[in-house]
Amino acid sequence: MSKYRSSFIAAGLFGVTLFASAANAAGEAKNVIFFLGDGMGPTTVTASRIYAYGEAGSLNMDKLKRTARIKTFSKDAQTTDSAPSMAAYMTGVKMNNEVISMSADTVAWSPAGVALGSRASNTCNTVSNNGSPVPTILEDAIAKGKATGVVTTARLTHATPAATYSHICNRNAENDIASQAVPTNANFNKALGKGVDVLMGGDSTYWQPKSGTMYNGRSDGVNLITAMQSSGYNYVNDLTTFNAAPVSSGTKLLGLFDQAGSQGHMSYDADRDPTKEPSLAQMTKKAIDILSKNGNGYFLMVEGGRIDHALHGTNAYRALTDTIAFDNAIKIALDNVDLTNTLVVVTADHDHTMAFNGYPSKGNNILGKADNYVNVKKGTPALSSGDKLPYTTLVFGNGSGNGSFTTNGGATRLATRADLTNIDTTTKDFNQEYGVQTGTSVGGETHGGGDVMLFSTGAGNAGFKGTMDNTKVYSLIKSAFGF
Amino acid sequence: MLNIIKLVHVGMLVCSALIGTASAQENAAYKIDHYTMSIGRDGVTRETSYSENLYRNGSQLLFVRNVPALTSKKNVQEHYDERHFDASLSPQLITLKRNGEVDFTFLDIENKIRIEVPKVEFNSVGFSGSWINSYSLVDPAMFKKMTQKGPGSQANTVWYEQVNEKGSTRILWDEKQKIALDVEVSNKDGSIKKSSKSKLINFNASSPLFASANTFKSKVISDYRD
Repeated sequence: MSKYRSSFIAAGLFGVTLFASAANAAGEAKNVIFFLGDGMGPTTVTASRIYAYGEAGSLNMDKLKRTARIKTFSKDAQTTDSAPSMAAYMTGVKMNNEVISMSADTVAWSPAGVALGSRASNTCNTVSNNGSPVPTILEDAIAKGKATGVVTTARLTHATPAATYSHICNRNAENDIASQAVPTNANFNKALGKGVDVLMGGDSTYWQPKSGTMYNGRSDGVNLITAMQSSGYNYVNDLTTFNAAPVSSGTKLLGLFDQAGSQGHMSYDADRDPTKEPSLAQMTKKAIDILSKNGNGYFLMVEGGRIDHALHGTNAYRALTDTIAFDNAIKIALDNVDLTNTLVVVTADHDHTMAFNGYPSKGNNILGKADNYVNVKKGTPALSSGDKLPYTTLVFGNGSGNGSFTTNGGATRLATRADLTNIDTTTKDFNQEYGVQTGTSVGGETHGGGDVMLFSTGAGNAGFKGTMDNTKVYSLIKSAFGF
Repeated sequence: MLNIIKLVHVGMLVCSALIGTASAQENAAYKIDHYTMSIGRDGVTRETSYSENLYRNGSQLLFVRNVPALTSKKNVQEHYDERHFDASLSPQLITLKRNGEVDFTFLDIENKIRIEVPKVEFNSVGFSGSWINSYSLVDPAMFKKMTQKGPGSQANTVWYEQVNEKGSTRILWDEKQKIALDVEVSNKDGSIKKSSKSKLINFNASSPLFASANTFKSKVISDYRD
């Protein structure tokens, strides 16, 4: 063989290899797992790391290969709520607060300021030309023959999970959101094909009429659970039925866990009875076991939904322990996937107002009162607040409810801060202090408008870098899938 | 059946013991004036005061903030939709159940909504979870560690006092009504003072919420947390 000919062949092979690499770069992920820590801003990540692993330790999410910053603003607000932020990740479209996976022109409120959705129903069409559904990455995956799953510790109809499988102008209309997931229902979202394969989260009250000890229920009398069962779904509602559910190819699974009752979601991990209610890690493993049976791959969304709720309540303990539970679910996923064909993305939808204060010494309990590293070195760990009253390392920019420490409830800011000297601030029921009283806000403490972090690893992670808009994440996932 | 009767009986005993109202009035209302003062290291004296009404109705308590007319007019101009409520101004309904557990509910009067707060969220709304602390404004168990300082000027009242290295606490306790009529707390140097003064008012004057709250539609606090 002449050297020219062999060079030609080598060049040809090289060319083929190059071409193959380029193709893989745009479609090397057979599977994508998208983890969303609701409200898990940078301070929550840092505090959770210190809580579980110490200052120099690492969360599982910290160990992922690539890191980016995400801008989270929505179309009409500097500070987003979960609906448009998650919808931006899932659709690539920047939309108004409270809108779920609809076009940018969709409004959640009437011109008169009336919400276009309540628990029972939506009134989206009372505003003319009120937007249209936009495809989600989950629907894209179904269209390509992939299996899909949605797993959350929030209720299954809450904004974050809803943004994957439903389209509506106002997140409040959760009865309608639930019905969009049910193949036999008139409201079924036909872009879901035969339905999402795995759906697990809290609160069955949006899926069936009220009965027994249920704190609420559907007012239309429709039982969506039996409808799902008639469509081939296995229904589980506690750890026993969860463990017994099959994981064979083609399994369809609906899990609705009511152990937390009127909390309206699954239990905080700190309160969860591990003999009755599965952890987020257990649900993640179950979903992967089912979805990975599909030869065309899968898309799975996993939400640590209650991090956000604990932060709204200025309750750092439950926020941190739920973040650790979320991080444990990431570990389970990493241990059970092949990263050469699976992309793992971890991010948050928005920040909160929790801040990391003072100059506490290394090793000081992150949930404790801030000591002072200088005083600790002197052997006199006196606290350094101006009013001589101790303060915790973690405090909040705003909040409502616990400012008074009065005998009864009520948000009353008194002339003095509470004296925490003899209060154990590291217990799960301690609620941190806050700066601004927000008596009239949604749920007390508010979301924050700062950037959040994104971590990624596995197939097709190369583009997840720099500071980017939340809408870009959709196109990066789509590209990794090769869609 | 016997077991059921026993359970009901035990439940009633629990209720009765917790309410501690063998001689207290079933229906009663009080106006409570709260005051706090602190003198900061910066030399600034800060004072706050507000008042609320407490309505007792057997196993239910209702706390309603009293808002001055000027502020009340401003509040009327703000209309809250079903995803917002004012945690400062919304009346609080506290219910003692037969099993001794306590329910805490905000009442959104404008939208006629009961906002239920599950136990794990009590602290996040500033509720201690203690029925007796809400019913009597203090827990009478604390009197065991205090010194009885003699009768008050009103019938059936007695002063309790505790003084230690941190400061002092004085409580005027009404044994018949089972309520602290006066709570005075001060730190040792007097730079921080708190007081709550209660007086009996007409129960029938303004307590319609016990009945109407039952007709409100129900939501949970998580509905307001996005």
